[in-house]
Amino acid sequence: MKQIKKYTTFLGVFLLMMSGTMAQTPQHRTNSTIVADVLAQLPAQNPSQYNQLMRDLVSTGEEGFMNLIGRLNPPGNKSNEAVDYALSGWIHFVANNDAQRAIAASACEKALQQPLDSEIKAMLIRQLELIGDDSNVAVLSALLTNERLSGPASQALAHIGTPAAGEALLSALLSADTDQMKTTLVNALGQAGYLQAEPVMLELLNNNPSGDLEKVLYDALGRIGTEASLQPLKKAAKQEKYVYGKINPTAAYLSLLNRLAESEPGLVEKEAKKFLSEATKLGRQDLKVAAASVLLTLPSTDKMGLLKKALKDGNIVYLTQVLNSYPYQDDEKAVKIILKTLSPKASSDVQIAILYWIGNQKVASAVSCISDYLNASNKDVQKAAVYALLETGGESALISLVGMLKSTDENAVKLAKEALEGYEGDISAALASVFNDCSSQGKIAILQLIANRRMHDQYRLVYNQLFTDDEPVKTEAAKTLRYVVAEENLSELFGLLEQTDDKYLAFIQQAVNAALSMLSPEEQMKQVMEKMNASDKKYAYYVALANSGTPQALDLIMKAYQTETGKNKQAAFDAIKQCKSFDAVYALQDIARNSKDKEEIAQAVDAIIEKVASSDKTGAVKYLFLRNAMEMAQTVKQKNNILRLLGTTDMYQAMLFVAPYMDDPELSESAAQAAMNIALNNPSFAGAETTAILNKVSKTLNNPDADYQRQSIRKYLSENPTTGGFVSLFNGKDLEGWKGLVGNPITRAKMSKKELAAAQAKADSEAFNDWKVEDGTIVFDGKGFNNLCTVKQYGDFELLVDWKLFPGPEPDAGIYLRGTPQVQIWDTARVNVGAQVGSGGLYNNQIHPSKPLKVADLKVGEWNTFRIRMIGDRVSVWLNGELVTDNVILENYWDRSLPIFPIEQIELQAHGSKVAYRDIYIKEFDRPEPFRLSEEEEKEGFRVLFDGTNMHEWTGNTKDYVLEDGNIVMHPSKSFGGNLYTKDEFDNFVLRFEFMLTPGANNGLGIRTPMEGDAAYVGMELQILDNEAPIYKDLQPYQYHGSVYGVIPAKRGYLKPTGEWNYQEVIADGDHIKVILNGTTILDGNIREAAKNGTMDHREHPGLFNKKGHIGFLGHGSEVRFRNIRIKELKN
Amino acid sequence: MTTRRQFLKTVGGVTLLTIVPRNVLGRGMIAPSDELTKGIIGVGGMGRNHIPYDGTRVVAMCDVDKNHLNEAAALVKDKIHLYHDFRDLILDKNVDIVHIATPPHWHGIMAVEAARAGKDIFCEKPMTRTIGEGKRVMEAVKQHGNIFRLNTWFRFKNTFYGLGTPVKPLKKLVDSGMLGWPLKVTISKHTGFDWKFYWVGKTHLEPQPVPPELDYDMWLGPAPYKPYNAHRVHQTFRGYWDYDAGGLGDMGQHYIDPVQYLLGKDDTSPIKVEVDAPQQHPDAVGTWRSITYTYEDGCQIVLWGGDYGNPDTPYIAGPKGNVYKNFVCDIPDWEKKLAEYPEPKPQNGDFIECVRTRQKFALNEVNGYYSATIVNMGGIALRLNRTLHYDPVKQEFINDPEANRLLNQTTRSPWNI
Repeated sequence: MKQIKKYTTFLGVFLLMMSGTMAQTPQHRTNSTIVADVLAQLPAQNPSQYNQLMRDLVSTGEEGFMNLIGRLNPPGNKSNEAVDYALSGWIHFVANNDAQRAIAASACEKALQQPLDSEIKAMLIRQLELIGDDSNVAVLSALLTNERLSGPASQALAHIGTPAAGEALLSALLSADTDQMKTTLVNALGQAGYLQAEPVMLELLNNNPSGDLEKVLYDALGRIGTEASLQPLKKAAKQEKYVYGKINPTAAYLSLLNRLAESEPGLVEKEAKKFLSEATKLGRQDLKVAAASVLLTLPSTDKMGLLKKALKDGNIVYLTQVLNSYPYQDDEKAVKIILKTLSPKASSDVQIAILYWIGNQKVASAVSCISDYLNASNKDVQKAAVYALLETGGESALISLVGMLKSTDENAVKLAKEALEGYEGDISAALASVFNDCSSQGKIAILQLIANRRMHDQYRLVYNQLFTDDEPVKTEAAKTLRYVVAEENLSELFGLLEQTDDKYLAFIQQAVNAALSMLSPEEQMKQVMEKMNASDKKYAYYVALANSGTPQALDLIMKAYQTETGKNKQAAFDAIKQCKSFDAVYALQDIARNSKDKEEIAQAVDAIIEKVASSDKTGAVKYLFLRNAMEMAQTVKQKNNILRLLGTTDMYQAMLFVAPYMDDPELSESAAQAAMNIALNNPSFAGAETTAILNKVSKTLNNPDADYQRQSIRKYLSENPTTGGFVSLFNGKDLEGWKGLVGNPITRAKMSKKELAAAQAKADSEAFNDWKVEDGTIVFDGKGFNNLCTVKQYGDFELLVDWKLFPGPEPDAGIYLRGTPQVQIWDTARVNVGAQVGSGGLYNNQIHPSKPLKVADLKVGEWNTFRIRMIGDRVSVWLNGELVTDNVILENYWDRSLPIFPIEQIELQAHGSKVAYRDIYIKEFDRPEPFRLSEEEEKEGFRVLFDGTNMHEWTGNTKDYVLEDGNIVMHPSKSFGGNLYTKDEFDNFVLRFEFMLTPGANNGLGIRTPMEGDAAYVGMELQILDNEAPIYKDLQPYQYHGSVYGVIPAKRGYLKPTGEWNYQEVIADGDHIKVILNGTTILDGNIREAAKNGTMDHREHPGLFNKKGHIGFLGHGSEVRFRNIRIKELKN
Repeated sequence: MTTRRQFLKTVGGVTLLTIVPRNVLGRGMIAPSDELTKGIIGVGGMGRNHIPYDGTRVVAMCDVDKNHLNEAAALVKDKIHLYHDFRDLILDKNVDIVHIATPPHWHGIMAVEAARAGKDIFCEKPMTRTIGEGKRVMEAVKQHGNIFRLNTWFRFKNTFYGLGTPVKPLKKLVDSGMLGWPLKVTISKHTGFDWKFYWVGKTHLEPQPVPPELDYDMWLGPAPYKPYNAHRVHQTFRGYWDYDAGGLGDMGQHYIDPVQYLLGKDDTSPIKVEVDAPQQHPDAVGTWRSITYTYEDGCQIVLWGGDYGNPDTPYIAGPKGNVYKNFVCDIPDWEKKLAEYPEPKPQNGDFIECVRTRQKFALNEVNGYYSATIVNMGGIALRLNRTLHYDPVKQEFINDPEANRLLNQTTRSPWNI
């Protein structure tokens, strides 16, 4: 690749696209080709593609539009999908461009005049409804007599909504002969708001219409009517006794009143008053509200009179709405009257309505009236009063609310407390001032408020309550203490710790911890140890120790747990449960495993669950500890919690682990949810096993969201493979599928079948002696080094396996991949052999990294879990969810001159120490057969540089150039991390390879180049470029694909489209360079002659005449694939 | 406390005469005659969840699918009235509260009709399928003084979906100003929300015979007539623009309404909506990558569909701090600092009490209209595949007549709103 000045070029093209000055009409294509091209690409996947495709489409004008129409099929078995996208996309695209909109609308019109299926026409009318204007009225009105299309056409006209559209609807109404047609048209006229239709509608109303026609007439007159419609509507409403009905003239009448309010205030006032009195007679509160709300908008209404009546009326529905609508601003008299009505003698409904009104309107002057109702016996009144106080706010509201705390009425205290929680401003002093006057309940509320707002200034008040005789208050004070302490209270708090009754100990401990937390862990340790050593109440200090979270603290407490008894032991246990460090999980597991006390085990398990749930450990680590916890769980609730949490681990093993619990009625729902969550979050787990589990989940789910969840499952199964996927390599019962180890892949290959069989039989018997199945795990407890090997061989795969080392002299094991050592497993404590780097490295690598990226091991004796992915010669390892080996080439330990074997067995290593494995799952990836030379090429002396399985011949940037599906793939990376080179150097040669470009791809083939520097100058570069991409339209000829960059131009136009494979042959023979692309010689020249009078790019090319060098791929920024690379060296 | 009898007397005197006498009263229970009653419209799926809502008793149901109606009726022990036409249910004098659990294209009309009959209303989300219909509902409820409840609740109770916290403490944090201003809220799978992209429509439906139990014409109601196919109706209707807006319509108000509350946008709308999505089919709802709403003050709500977006993005991002899923905040010592601020104002989440005291429910026709408007703005921008600018005062799109025609869609006769 060569850095091309593509940014400026690209910017230029971009600006042209943006400015719209250059039509984007694809030149030299006919409209029907453009339409077909666009249809093939619809629906557009993103806005820029949409804009481009629509620009193309719109450029075809009416001809293109009609072409699209011609492609529409009537409803039935042929889909209109692409045309639907094209037509609607077109309409939306031009809607705000007058000229283009007119073209589209007129094309719609033309189409509507053609003999098309009605449903297609209805669809076109719906398009026209969005963009039509006066010019389309004629064609739409012609459709108003069509039984199927009058509906859509009338709606389109209603939306156009101009006088012409209204006129068209009206004249159709005049000539309509069926009630159904009339109904349609009247409804549309109403929606169009065409006022001129009123006389015709009134006329229709006179002729005793019925059913839907009557309904739409009322509706429409309510929308468009004038004074003239008032009486007819009123008459009809009255006839119905203003009762709601399917045909509802009352609603129309009310609409009309509201509409006329501005233009005919006098008339409306008269009408509304009458209506109000009728509604009052009927006791219809909703209609009273409607009448009053009209009246209250009119300038001349006697609003005060209306208000007074409403206050007297006292109906809460009516009064509330009148109060809400009353323009009380600047009407002090009204406020006074309202407040005067608020009296203890008034009905509770009136009290409620007025109190809420005070709150809603924030009537500050009313605060003094409210206090009477704060202790009302009616709870709704009481609540309204508190609301009013809180909303009006201010100092006096605070005093009243705080005063309520003195009440002996529980509800009053509760309401006051809720209100005070939301009170803006400092409430601390006010609370303190009433504290002593409160009953226990009020005191407790105050303490809770102090805690909520962390009122450190009330520390003394809280502290003093620890010495009261009022037990509930004392307890609340103890609970509150932690929220108000400061560092300087520590010594007093330690004093409390010594003095306190055990009943309050836990709360005091929390307070001590809160104060301690302001210090560093070391300082905490120091202070606590000091006090503890001087105390004979040591147990009281364990929790404070645990708060520091230091390893020493945990050790100390654990020791206390093991050595102490009774109260002290219990206290140590409690402290471990509260310990901040995640490592407490190990201690809790030990306790649970060794305890005989079920209650103690249950508590330990609860603590483990809590620790795991709140930790930021990986899903893998959580899975491991949760699985342990499941073994120890004592209650159904614990098991459900564990299952639920397992569902958040995103671990395949966890999904398989939880699935069987679907059979337990008490756990089935949690298990189903967990399995579902894991599966749906991880499409890579899809396959036969996952499908079976999800099907079972679907049947098991039983919760309000189950239908939603089943939908999600169906979607997942329809989008992901339902066969294949991970399969188990270990059945949990015996060693079926496994065998002993014979030699190594190279020695085995040299053995005869017979020799191998005999050796295998011997190895098997040894292996099955050393390896045992125990409790669903495979355990090696032998002395030797007999690996356990899969019978099957594997190429590209992902392997999941859990493993566990046991404490002992030199814990060590590993996983051999393709018969080759190894993914390392060892005890990180073995620093003498360098094990402190952790497990999961490719231990035997010498060139490529052999150490893991980080230590992710759990303690020896715990299960760990590997996820190992091997693609080609690259290996990635995740240990306990952490990536420890990142796409590293595994070297061939048995013969370092060879690449790794393309396919071989997987082995569980035995290394003389006890090790266990469980849950072994493997997913194989399809890959093409390795590339092989043709007989002819073999004869000619070609050798393979890349066969799809390994990159053994290559070096340099193996990070961005990865192996995928048998190809070398350059993935764009931010790093621009350099090039990929052959390890060997070549002088004269024939190179054959295939490559695939993505749009705009830019790469290059370096030849006779050193590994350092710009190959185009320090060596020679043969351009690899998608030179058809629009962004490269201004290239220099010497930049075309295949050119000797800057020196000899290649012929352009022989690349296959992006996404297809190109076959290229490069012959470099002395000064003679020849490039054959897809069978066409695109370059055939002599570099010495070409450079004789200076190169085309006027640059120095010091490496042009290198005798030899590496071959390299020089890429960045875009994805390119290479495969089947082979070379023949030419003899000089 | 107002008894049901008194209540009915006050709400609609004429109904007093037709009250069915309730005779046997259990001790310590609310007398059936004091209990409010409800009628549920649409009992195919969601409507059945309305049967057990606290404090009210079902007395009537309505559905245009006979099978649905009979199946749902069997779930209730008492004898109840069954209706085919929703207006008959609204007319039923025994019904105090009308529950609307139909597909959204009916919500607006039914809510307005119930309001006109003086009934209180319990409506499923999304409130309405168009912005214009939402406005009509708001006006009708105001005009008749009804109490309206929209059925999503995360602004006032319960753990807010995958966020792992109720909204109240978040509101407190936002109001405290500790995060700074303006804020950007991201609603995506990564912050705990799932847009349920299985609610996508099919782009090709063959006409099928209408099953005898279904009144398809009434099911469609105001929506354009299109030939029947089973995928249009019942469990899969959300995949069609005529009736809803896919996962956005289904979950949008659940997710967005609490955000509107958090940001204090209960009485306004964004000024801009941008979409990044594949082109939408005119009939079938598709998927999308993102929808971004911007308010005048710079606050943003960003929706990411499917697995899109950056997993590290906070739920709320502010200039001074961020909040992530499970209420993880990156401001040092935030819990301590936050405790000193007052709690958010209490919200009334007791619908029955609201009905009694005639005060607005926590999520009502007004704030519900504004959150439904956000959902509907997104739907329009998706359908038109372009950035839209909105005037929150006039409540219409700026310089985009086509978008404005989708604000107030016309309705099929004889329906209108």
